[in-house]
Parts: sequence; C-alpha cells; structure tokens
Amino acid sequence: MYLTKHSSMNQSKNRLYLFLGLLAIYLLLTVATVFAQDVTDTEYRPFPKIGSRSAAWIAAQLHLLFGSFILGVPMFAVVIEFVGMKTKDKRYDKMAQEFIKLCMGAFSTTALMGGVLVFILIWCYPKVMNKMTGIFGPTMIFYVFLFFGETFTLYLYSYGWDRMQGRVSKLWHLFLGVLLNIFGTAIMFVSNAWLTYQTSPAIMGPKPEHKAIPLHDESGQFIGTLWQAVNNYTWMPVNIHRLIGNVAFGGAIVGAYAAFRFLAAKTQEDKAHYDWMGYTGNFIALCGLIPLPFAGYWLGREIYMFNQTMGINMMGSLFSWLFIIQAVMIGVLFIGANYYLWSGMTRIAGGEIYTRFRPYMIAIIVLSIAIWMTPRTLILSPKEIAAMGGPNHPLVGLFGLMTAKNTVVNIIILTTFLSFLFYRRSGKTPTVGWGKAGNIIIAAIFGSAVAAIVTIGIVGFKVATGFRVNVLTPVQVLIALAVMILVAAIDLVMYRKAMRSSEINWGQMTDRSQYVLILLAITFTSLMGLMGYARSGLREAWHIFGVMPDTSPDAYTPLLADAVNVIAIIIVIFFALVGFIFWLGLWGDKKKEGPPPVEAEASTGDD
Amino acid sequence: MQKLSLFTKCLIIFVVLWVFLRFFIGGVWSVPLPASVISMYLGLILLAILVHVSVEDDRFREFLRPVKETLADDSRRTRRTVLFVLIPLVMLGFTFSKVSTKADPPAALRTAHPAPPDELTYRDKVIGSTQEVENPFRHLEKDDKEAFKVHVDNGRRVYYQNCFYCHGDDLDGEGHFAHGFNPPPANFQDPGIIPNFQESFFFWRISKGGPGLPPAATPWDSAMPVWEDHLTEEEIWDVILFLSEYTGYRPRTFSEAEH
Amino acid sequence: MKKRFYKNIFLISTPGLILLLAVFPIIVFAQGKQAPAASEAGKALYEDKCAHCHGIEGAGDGSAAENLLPRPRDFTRGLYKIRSTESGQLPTDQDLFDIISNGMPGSSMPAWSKILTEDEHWQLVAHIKTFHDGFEGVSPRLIDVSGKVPYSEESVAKGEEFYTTLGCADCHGVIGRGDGTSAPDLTDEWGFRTWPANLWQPWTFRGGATTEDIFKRFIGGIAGSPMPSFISSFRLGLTDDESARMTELEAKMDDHGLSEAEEEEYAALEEKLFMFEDIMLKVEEGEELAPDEHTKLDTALKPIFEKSWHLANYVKSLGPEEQPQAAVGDKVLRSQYRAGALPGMNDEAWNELQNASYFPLVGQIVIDPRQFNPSIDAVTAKSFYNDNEIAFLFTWDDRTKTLPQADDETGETVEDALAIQFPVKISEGPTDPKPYFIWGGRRPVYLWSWKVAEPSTVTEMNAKGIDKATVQSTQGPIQAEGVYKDGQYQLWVKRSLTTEDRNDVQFTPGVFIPIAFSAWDGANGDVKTKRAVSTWYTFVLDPVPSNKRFVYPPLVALISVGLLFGLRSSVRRRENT
Repeated sequence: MYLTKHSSMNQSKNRLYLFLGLLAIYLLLTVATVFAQDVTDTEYRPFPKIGSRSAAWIAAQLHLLFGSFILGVPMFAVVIEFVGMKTKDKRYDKMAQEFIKLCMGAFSTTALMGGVLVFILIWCYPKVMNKMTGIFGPTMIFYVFLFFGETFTLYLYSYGWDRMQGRVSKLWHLFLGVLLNIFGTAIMFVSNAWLTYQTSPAIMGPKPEHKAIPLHDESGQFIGTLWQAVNNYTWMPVNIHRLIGNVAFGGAIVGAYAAFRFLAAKTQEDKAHYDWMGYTGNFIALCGLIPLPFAGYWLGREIYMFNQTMGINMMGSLFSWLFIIQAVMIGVLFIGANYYLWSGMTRIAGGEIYTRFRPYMIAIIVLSIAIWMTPRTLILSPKEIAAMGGPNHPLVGLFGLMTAKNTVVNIIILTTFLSFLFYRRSGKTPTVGWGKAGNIIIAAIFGSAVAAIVTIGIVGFKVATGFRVNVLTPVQVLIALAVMILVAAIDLVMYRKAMRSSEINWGQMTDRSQYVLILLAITFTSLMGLMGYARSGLREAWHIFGVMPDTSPDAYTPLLADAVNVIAIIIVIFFALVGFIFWLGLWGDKKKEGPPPVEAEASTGDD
Repeated sequence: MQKLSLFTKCLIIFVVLWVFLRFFIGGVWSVPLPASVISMYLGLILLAILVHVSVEDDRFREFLRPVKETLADDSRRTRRTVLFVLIPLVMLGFTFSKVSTKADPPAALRTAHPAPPDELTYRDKVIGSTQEVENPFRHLEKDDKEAFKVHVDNGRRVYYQNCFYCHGDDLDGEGHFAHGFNPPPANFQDPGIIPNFQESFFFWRISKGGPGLPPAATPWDSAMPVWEDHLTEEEIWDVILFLSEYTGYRPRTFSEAEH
Repeated sequence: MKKRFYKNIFLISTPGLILLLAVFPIIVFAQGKQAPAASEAGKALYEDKCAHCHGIEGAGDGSAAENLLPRPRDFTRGLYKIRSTESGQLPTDQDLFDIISNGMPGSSMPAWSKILTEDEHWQLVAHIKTFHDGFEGVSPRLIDVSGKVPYSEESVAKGEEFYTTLGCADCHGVIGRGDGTSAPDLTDEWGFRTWPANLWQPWTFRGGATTEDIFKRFIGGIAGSPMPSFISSFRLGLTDDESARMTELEAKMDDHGLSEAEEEEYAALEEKLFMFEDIMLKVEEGEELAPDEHTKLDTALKPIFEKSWHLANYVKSLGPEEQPQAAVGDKVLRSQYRAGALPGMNDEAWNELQNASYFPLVGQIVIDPRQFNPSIDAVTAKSFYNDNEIAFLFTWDDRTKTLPQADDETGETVEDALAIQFPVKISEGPTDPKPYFIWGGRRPVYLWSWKVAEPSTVTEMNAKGIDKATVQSTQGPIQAEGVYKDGQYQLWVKRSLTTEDRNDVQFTPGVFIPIAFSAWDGANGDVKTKRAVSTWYTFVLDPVPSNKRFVYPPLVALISVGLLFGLRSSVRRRENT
C-alpha cells in the first residue's frame, strides 16, 4: 500500500523526466544529421568566451559523470532487487527502486549533456568529427540504437516496478534490469572505443612483446578495419577500469544521497532507512574501490607499452604531479571508508571490543598513505636542497619509488579489509568450537602476509625493474587477494551459525559519519575529473595521437593549476545538478507526507 | 597526579611525532626533511588523531570537554584569560613574521624524468623508435663475453674522459664540478635512476643533453652537454653499458614497461 | 658441590669471554695501521676504481689523465705530495690511507671513505706500494708536531714576517692569493703546469687545512711540485746569528777576501753545515742514524720548526677553512635599498654589507673548445639599489692579470674578462622556463661584458647561444670600473633600474631575477667558449618593508580574538539549552 501510494505521487515528476529524456534524444538525432553533412572545408570554429577546449571539456566531463552514475547505479539496483526477491525483504526492493528513481533524473541529464557535447564537438571540431565519423560511422548508428534500447528499458524497468511484483513478472522485471545493464555497458564500451582510439590508434602486436601496430599509414590514412579501431590498444583496459570505477562511483553517489536524506530526516524510521542505504552504498563503493588500483595499474602498463613517451609523460613528467594529488585523494577515500566502517560499529552493541585495535589500524593506514603520498620529486626551496645535499632525501626519497608505493597500497587494502571484518563480526559470537584457533589462524595469516608484502617491497629496491614489475608486484597483489579470500572463507564458516548478541541499531549514527559519506562522493568525483584530464591530456597536441595534430589555438596542454580550476567548476556544476535531483526526491516525498507510514517492519530487522 | 585528559594526550602525541620528524629523522637519523613533506605528514597525523577521537560520540565529547570547559566554564577563568591573550598574540607574531620576512626565492618545480621523443636520433640520423631501440651491444653479454668486456671498458674510458667531472668517480653524482650545477648531476647509484628507464632513454638524454629537453622539462636548467657533438654512437651505447655494469643496476627493457 | 663449581666457572668465564670478544677487534684494529701484503683483491679494486686516472701501471697515465690538472699522481717515482714524513722521504702507510680516504680537495681526487671499506683502503695502499721499489724496509722519519705554537696574533705577525723574508711571495703573491710573479711559469717534476696555492682558499689545500696539515707541508715539502721543504731554505745546524755571520763572510770573501781568523771561523761554520748535510743525506737514503745524530738533528730542526708553526698560523689566518656556501637559500644575493646616491667603487659603504654572495664557477664543458681545468673558481657579489639605480660590486680571484696577448699554444688572443648574464625576460612562475644557462638559446639573455683591456667599460650584449652573442646597437648609460690587485679583480657596475630597451633586463624590487656568470682567465688559455661558467642563480632587490606588516598582524589578532569570543558564547549557549 505504502509503495503504490509512493509511486503515484511521483507521476508528475516522472513526466518531467520523460520530457527531458525525449528532448535529449531529439537533440542527439539533430546532431546526427549534422554528421552527414560535408564539413571538410572548416577545420575549427571557436567557441565563444571560454574556448572550444574548455567547452568540450566541461560538457564531456559532466556527461561522463552522469553517465557513470546511471551505469553504476542500475548494476546494483538489480543485484539488490534480486537479494530482496530471494530474502523476501521488502526493504531491499524499496531501496532498489529508490536508486532507480535517482537514475531517472540523472538519465535525462546525461542525455542532455551528451547532446550538448556532440553539438559542441561538431560545431567546434568539424574536421576531427568528420575523420572520426569516417572511421567509426557504423558504431555511431549502433550507439543510437543502444541508446534507444537503454532509454526504453529504463522506463519500463522504472515504471513497471510496482506493476511487476508478481512471482513471474518479478522475474521479467529482473530480466529488464539485466538488459538495462547490458545496454548501459555496451553504450560505454562503444563510446570508449572512440576516445581510446584517439589516444592509442594502434592494435596490440603478437606476443610476447605486444608491440603497437599503428592503424594508419604514413600519410595518416586509416588502414585498419572497424573492429581493429574499436579494439585498439587501450580499449579493454579503459573499459574494465571504467566499469569498476562506475560501480564505485554509483555506490558513492547513492551513499551521498542517503547521507543527505539521513541528515534531513525527521523521524527515527527515515534515519534508520537512510542509514542502511548509506551503508549499502558505501559497501558497494568499497567493493569497487578495492580492485580499482589493480585495474588502474593494468591501464597504466598498457599505456606504457603502447607508447613509452606517453607513459613517462603520465607518470614521470607532464602529469606526474597529478598522480600525487590522486594519491592524496585516494588516501582520503580509504581513510573515509574506514572511518565510516568504524562509525558503523558504534551502532552495534558489542562492536566496541574491536575499538582497541583501532589506533593501530589508523596508524598503519596513515603511515602507508604518508609513504604513498610522498612524491619522488619533492617540492624544495634551494635552501632545503642545500641542507639535504641534493634533490632526493636519502630516507624519504625511497618512498617515492614504485616498490614502496605498491607495498603500502596492498597494506592499506588489507587493513581496510580487516576493518570490514571487524564490522561484520560486531555483536556476534562464534559458536564453533575452534573459534579461538580460527582467530589465531586469521591473525597469523594477516601477520605473515604483511611481513611477506613488506619484505618483497624491500627486496624490490634491489632487484632489476623487470623482475620487480613482472614478478614481485604481482606476487604482492596475489598475496593480498589470497589473504582476503582465505580469511573471508574462514570467517564465513566461523560465523555461519554465530550467536547474535545484539542487533544493528540502524539510524544510530553520528552526523559526522554522514558528512564523510558526502565527502567520499565529492572525492570520487574530483578523482574522476582529474583522471579524465590525464587520460585526455596524454594525447598532448593531437586529436588522434600521432596521426591528426591539433592545430587549433586550444592545442596546448593546460597546466595542472588551470586544469584543477576547470575540474573544480565541473564538480560544482555536477553537484549543483545532483543536489537538484536529490532535492527533487526529497521534495516529491514531502508532498506525499500525509498520514505517517504504517509499515514499521520496513525500517527494522537485521542486515 | 591528575589524569591527563584525552585532548592533552593527543596534543602530546602530536608534538612528539613532530619532534620525531623534525629532529629525529631530520637530524639524528638523516638529513633534514623538506618543509613540504613535514607539513604533509603532520596533516596526516592530525587527521589520524581526529579520526580516532571522533568515531564515537562519547569519546568525541570527552575530547572536546577540556576545550569547552576552557571556553565556557567559570572554574577555568585563569586559563581562559591566558589563552585569550596568548593566542591572538601568537597570531600577531606569526603574521608579522610572515609579512615582514624576506621572501625565499621561488622553489623550482622540477620534472626529473621528462619523456623522450618517439624517434631516437643520433645527430640527424634516425635510429628507430625510442621504445623499441635496444642497445646494439647488449646481446654480447650473453653471446660473447670477451667482446662485451671490450665495450664496457670502452664505456669506462668514455665515462672517465667526459662524464666523471660532474657525475663523479663513483657514479654518485658527486664529481668535482657537481657543486656548480643546479639541478645536480644524476646519481647513478640511486636505485630510482637506472632501473626505471630503457637504454634508449639514456641514449636520448646523453646524446641530446640539456638543450634537447622537451618543453615540459621544467625548469630547463640541465647542464648536460649535447654529447652527440663529442661522442660517437658506439661510445654512447658503450658508456650506457658501463653505467649499468659499474652500478649493478640493469636498465629496464621494453617488455618490462610499467607505470 | 661439583655443580656449583661449574656454575662458578661459568659465571666467571662469561664476562671474561664477552670482554675478550669486545677487545679482540680493538687489538686487531690497533695493529691494522700497517698495510697488509699486496693482494689480487687490491689489484682488482685498483683497476676498477683508480686505474682510469692513475693508469694500470700506476704511472698517472690513465685515460682520464689528459684533461686533468693537477694531474693524477704517477706512483712509480715514489714522489708523494702529502706526507707526514720529512722532506725527501716516502709516506707512511697511514699517509696513503688518509689520502685515499679524504681525497685531495681542489683536485679531482675524491674522498673514498664514503665508498670503500677500511679493508679496501688497506688493500689499495698495499697495491699502490707495489708500483715503487723504494718502500721495502724503510722506516721514514716522521715530522714532529709536538712543538706546536698556539694560534695568536703575535704568532701570525711573526709568520707574516717569515712569509716575506723567505720568499713565499714569489709564487704565492704578496698577500697570498697565489698570484706571485713566478706563478704563471711553474711546472712540476713531470713538466706539467702547476699553480701555486691560493692561500685564501684553504678548502683547496690538497692535504687538508688544519694548522698541522699546513705545517707538515712546510717541513716535508710537496714532493714533485715546486713547493720546497722549508728546511732547505735554512742553513741547517746553524743558529740565526751563525747563518747571518756566514752570509756576511761570504759577501766579504767575494769582495776582498777573508782574514785568517775569519777563514777559520768560516771553515768551522762550514764543517758544522757539512755535518748536517751528511745527516740529511743519510736520512734521505733511509740509512739508520746514530742516536747522537738523531739528537743533533732534532736540536737543529727545532728553530726551523718553530718558524714553520708561526708561518702556518699566518696562512691559517688568511681564509676560512670551508668554502663559502653558494648564493642560494639564506645566502641568496639581496640588493639593499639605500636612499640617495649609490656608493662608488672604493666607498666604505660596501663594507656595511657583511658577506658577499658566493657564486661558484666550474669549467665550461658543454661546447668545444672546452675548459676542463678552470682557474677561476667563483665570483662574489654585493649590491645596493635606490629609487633609480642599482650598483654591483663583483670580485673574483685570478692569479694573473692578462692583458690581450697571443696564447702560447693556440695563438689566439686571450685576455681576462667577465660576463654577467641575466635573462631578457624574467620567467613567471616555477614552470616558466629560463633561457639556457650558458648564454641562452631559444630564449635570449642580456649580458654585461667586461674586459681587462677596457676596465671602465661594460658592453651591453644579447645572446641566443654560447657563440651567438651580439653587441647591442645602442649602448645604455652604464658606469663601470674594474681594477686588479693582489690576485683579485674587482668590478663595479651601475645601471638604472629600468631602461627603454626591450632587450635589456628590467630590475624590479621584490622580483627574483636570475643571474649567471662567465669568466675568462687569459693565462689559463680561456678564450671564447673555453671559460669558467656558473649555473643560474637568483638575486632580489630586497623590497623596502611595506606598511602591510603594521596592518595585517593586528587585524589577524583582532579576528582571532573575535573568533575565540564567538566560540565561547556558542559553547555557553549550547550548554544552557
């Protein structure tokens, strides 16, 4: 009853979304017709005031941010819906639906931004777009179809939610959700093909060296096939990296939404609901965050292999400071995520027994982050150079090397995993006889893994780079992964029939922890903005790297300081829009507030 | 003795860690840490402390209690008066010293390892793609030890006739001309130099020197000569072999690329 | 009972054992002052670390030797500069160890202590000794440093007197900057050019700059170089009076012969002299001296040693032991504001500025022809400015004043000169590149060129590369004055802060302006690209402190007071509710 009422109140809002969505499609189609025109005579048209580069940049980044959101969120909406169906817990269903409602708002914005972007590109960079259309024409038509597919699936999925609650129709509904994700992922893969092609217009050569084989002849004429252009050197790594990133980003935005609603909530029930939602969002963000560095590592490696200059530019030269900022932000993410987990333990009676470990875990994480953040090239005044006897500090300078950084990343991840383990265990007592032995084994596994990772890290200073990159670093990662799997397995068995000494008091969270959730979302967004700048900036003054030079006045690579300004503007716009969408959610709900909801069980129960 | 409040404990920890960084690591153990690094570490330490005290409401309240008491409680009037005078005075002094001290010369942001061009050239001759060219004599290490030694010895000769003025007798960047340059000459004994780059990278840096640096390589102060004006192609490859033989560090090879 | 016995044994023996373990290394260490037998390890180490300069056979002819001055030592002759032994003797093993360990400041010999272990040092000592046969079974006479005269004004004054009377100034110059009249023509035992030490730069003393080090160089001489042992400057065995008398008699002998008494007197003196010459000969041959000979020699040496201590104290008084720190950080050159006219060259006002900023120079080895062995090591600078003008006072040490003349080897016209370099456009921000540090490239530099032939002229130039300098077509009004005195140039330059010329640098207070130098020493063959250069440094016209410092701090203090009270009332309010 509650649910039906809820959805009926949102109808006017949904109409607005539908209108916006259709408008976007209309725009896209208009633009697609412009594609067909012969535009070779004009190379560039300047965008007024802010210049073509900034205009395209802002539109592209906003489109991407909203796009990630609407790709990431449905992914776990489906999963949660499935969980709800299996456990018959209505709360899951309600939450999944709420996610999708957020999506609807974001979807039309994404489409709008996409339309604006295409318009800017075609207006400002006709020749480039002509070249790209020449190569990717068919995929663009495919893209439009996918987009239609996505749109209608989303509408069906969202509007059919309440209607399709029967035994069989729920399955169909779930199928729609899966289809939606397939469309979404395909859309991303297709558009990734275009932009990765701009960065790496080459395919991977045969094993073992995987040399880059260019797809253009000397005169810049395309000589490959469409599939080769799609499946270019960095396509798959970018796909995977973005896919995982979207999951994390979607989780973080949902977390921020939940936090926003939590802080605004008047009743204990609402608090409980949004607390739980925030927890789920953060959990998903964490699940995405943990494998993300590995995916990033792979992408970086591929960029190095495609073109060493590009690789060195990225890590050692032009963009190296960016990665210091990235390290700072990822540090914030990990500290924030842990903080949220620890805060979460306060709402479980019995969680406090793990508090005594916290100072040590904080110390380990902060020490690791300190090492990770320490740049290879320090910011120095001439006086300090003189005092150190050179630009490298004999001790701290070592932290700047990759082996140190790889080591601490693994340790940060393991520590975060430990926080989660403690969180899971809070308020539960294992009933198995070997509980104590199990704990000792887990402690031993952690201890020896950390010892092994650190030892390997130290050895890494001494050995040849090749051995380190190809053997030591993967071994470190494998150790970390193995520990997580092994410990999770032991822990699952140990706590399967655990005695629950207390329930989770959803809603009993500090406001501070909610601000942390919002901070996490902002940090994620900033990170994506920064990395977007790096990915695109790596081409330097090329539209298509090594093939089609950028001869416009905007060809320069902006300085980091300028880039940060643009990114800050993008983030402000993004959160203004997102805030508006959030507010719409709040506003819509408020209007429906008549008699207080009756279903008390909707906000209690265990996890 | 009165038990220390949580706030005081945190303050003590912070100060102790500061002393540790500034004076122990930066004095007793090693050379001074740069201010940028110290402030970054202190920021993290502060964050860690705040994280720890603010997770639970009770603890956070306990942490803030002395602060609140000092601010509002009548029994803390003396302390409050002292602090209310002292803090503005410290701020006054601090700002005054900031405003009136002479500006330090600007710190140079340095790009330590600029990216090489795609094409490796010697004088005007194209050798090949920077990422594919390998040292033509490297294979001798396996195939012909004697011939390899000849090349390394030649590299040794080249090094001590040309390079050691700056890069030092022991390849540690401390040659007798080193004090005259900024940035200082590369220290090949540093584990972050040789293992991180392919031999073609070294060929590029040696043959083109400071004047051949790309625009991104701020601050563009390298005193490295354009050695292709003085050395033959073979001599440059040989000296690269010598660098790695003498230090025991192996340059990276193409398939080992990483980020 | 028996158990207890063992326990006691154990109790007693454990500390003993520990003590033994602790003392053992000390015993071994103490005996390690003598080099071990030469070994294959030492040979291999020598070939890896030393041979590229000193040659595989130790003849000082390694591949790097050609471009080095001072030359790497030739070990085959057994001539060692830095010893703790008396003149004409071989060094001790410890001497060799110390040289390897400390290196030779002012030359290309680095200090190996950071790189090699102590054992490796000894292995090298042993190997180096194999290059010269004379080391077998000799026990050289050590220089006795027990009679050290403590540093005092008085001792310095005495030393200064000896400095003049003993003829030190011939090579080392009137006040010791190495600018003596014979300085340009000195060669060592192997015929290579050698410059007398600049006594104002103790950090370049090859054997160290402590008083003892200097003293040992006086007594032992610097073998292979023109620096003699002091002992040879005296009539060993004669007192000052006797020596003076002998000189007197010799003069008389040449003039009109000696009386019989005088001849006897002369013969007696001569006999005394011969006796000591015999003793010295024995010492040099490494023969054992009779005990009484030892005593006689020691007594005879004593007054010479004392004089040497005074002289060492005098040298010590000239310059700082450490090289001044380069003009970065704290030491950056700050031009001081001065209301009214700027001081001229010899104005006392320059002395108000305590330490001149120090800009180290090194050889230009980027572009041919290159200078591998620069003789000018640094330029120092002081500066004042007022509302319209800026004045600099530069100094640099040069052992020779070289007016334009043809170089002996190349025939090119060489002369002493200095060029002061600024960028035409001062870079904005840390990522804005400066011109190339040797006379620019794509980005031009602005130069003040001064040459010794026209000491009152500074020519304004622009350059876009080391050999691409052009004289500006319109020369702005720049005043300059250069003088050479006692081995040092001083150059005074004054220009207006701003000019109309777009190719000039403009001096703005508060802005850090890059500055660099090139210096030519004609006597060292410097010409065109062959010269000493510095990297970029920066200097600043120290701004007159602004009045902001009286505005902002009180403002900040006020705001913090406000904040504190605000916090307080908010806490109170919350506690009351």
